[in-house]
Amino acid sequence: MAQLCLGLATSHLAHIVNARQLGDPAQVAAFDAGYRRLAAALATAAPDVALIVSAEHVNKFFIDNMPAFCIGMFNAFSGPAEARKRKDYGIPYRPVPSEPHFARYLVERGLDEGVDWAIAENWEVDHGIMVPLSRLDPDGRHPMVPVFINCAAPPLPSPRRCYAVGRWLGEAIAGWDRDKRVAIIATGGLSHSVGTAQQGWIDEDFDRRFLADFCAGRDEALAALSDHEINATGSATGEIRSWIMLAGAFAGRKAEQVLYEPIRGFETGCAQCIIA
Amino acid sequence: MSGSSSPGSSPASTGSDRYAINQAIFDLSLHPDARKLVANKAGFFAAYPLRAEERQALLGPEWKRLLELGVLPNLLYRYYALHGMPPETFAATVAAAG
Repeated sequence: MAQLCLGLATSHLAHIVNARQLGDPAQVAAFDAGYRRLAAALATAAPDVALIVSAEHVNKFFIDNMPAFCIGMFNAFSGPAEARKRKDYGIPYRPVPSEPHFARYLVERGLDEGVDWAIAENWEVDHGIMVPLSRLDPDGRHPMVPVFINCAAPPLPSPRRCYAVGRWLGEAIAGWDRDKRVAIIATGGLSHSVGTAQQGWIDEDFDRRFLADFCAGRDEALAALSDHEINATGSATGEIRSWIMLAGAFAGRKAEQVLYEPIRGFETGCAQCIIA
Repeated sequence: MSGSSSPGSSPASTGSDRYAINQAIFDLSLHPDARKLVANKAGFFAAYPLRAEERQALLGPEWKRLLELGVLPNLLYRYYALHGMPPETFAATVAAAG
């Protein structure tokens, strides 16, 4: 049977690849070091496949047909969409191998068990997936199955629902009758705003409380967060739904905090964790 | 165009209150000549079934008003960037907007 072998969580902002000069050098260096830790953990865990869970920034998913949750089901995907339009984006536009059989298993099992995944059979991903992968797996050694959570176009799936889907993922992976090692990578957050007057403000108090709960395995505290509480910390902080889903998959397991840096020049509370 | 109807294909009476204005910015942002089209955005947006207040806010641009009209923040920020505005000026610009 399959085994959930590793969980990683990281902020996914593109500043780390194309606007590094805006951040305090010591903080940026810590962020880089954190990525190296996470990459080493991924290499050591050697998963046969990883889910990479992220918000998306209204590049592919639009309000004419906006799912709450979507799985990519294909042999490979490409990105970031931003690099196709901007040659100096900082990371190359490239293909990433995926694993359609695992994706299909999750979709079919989910449809049977009350997690009605939308399916994307073609998906040009954006920086939310490709910036972390540029640091964690630049050579595309590990097949990645992208998972989308709507964090950009309200109404959004609740943190409690994201946690429950995460719990279901953990059980579904354990129930997969393949002798495979599976990792989950959650990207996004922590507190930040994009496209509102709050942009630039970081809610350090919220971020530190969130990380403390995440690392202590206090899952109920994560699941109980309300939309209102999250939105008060930043218009884009809702991306932490991917972290909450990851916490659900590991069901109370403690995590190691690798990084928390409120990087003013990046306008984001930047964080990274490992669940091993 | 992934995730979007053709420009102007939706009658004014369909779609949510926020749909047309978001579709207009989304389509513009995906256009390969987006930066050039911004210089003639009145012409680009002419094909969209926008309310008068929406059209006015887009052409201003009236950044705060666009948020009030339901433009998704990610799209608003992208629209701002298409105007060649430095990213670090965004928050102050929105805060100062009447």
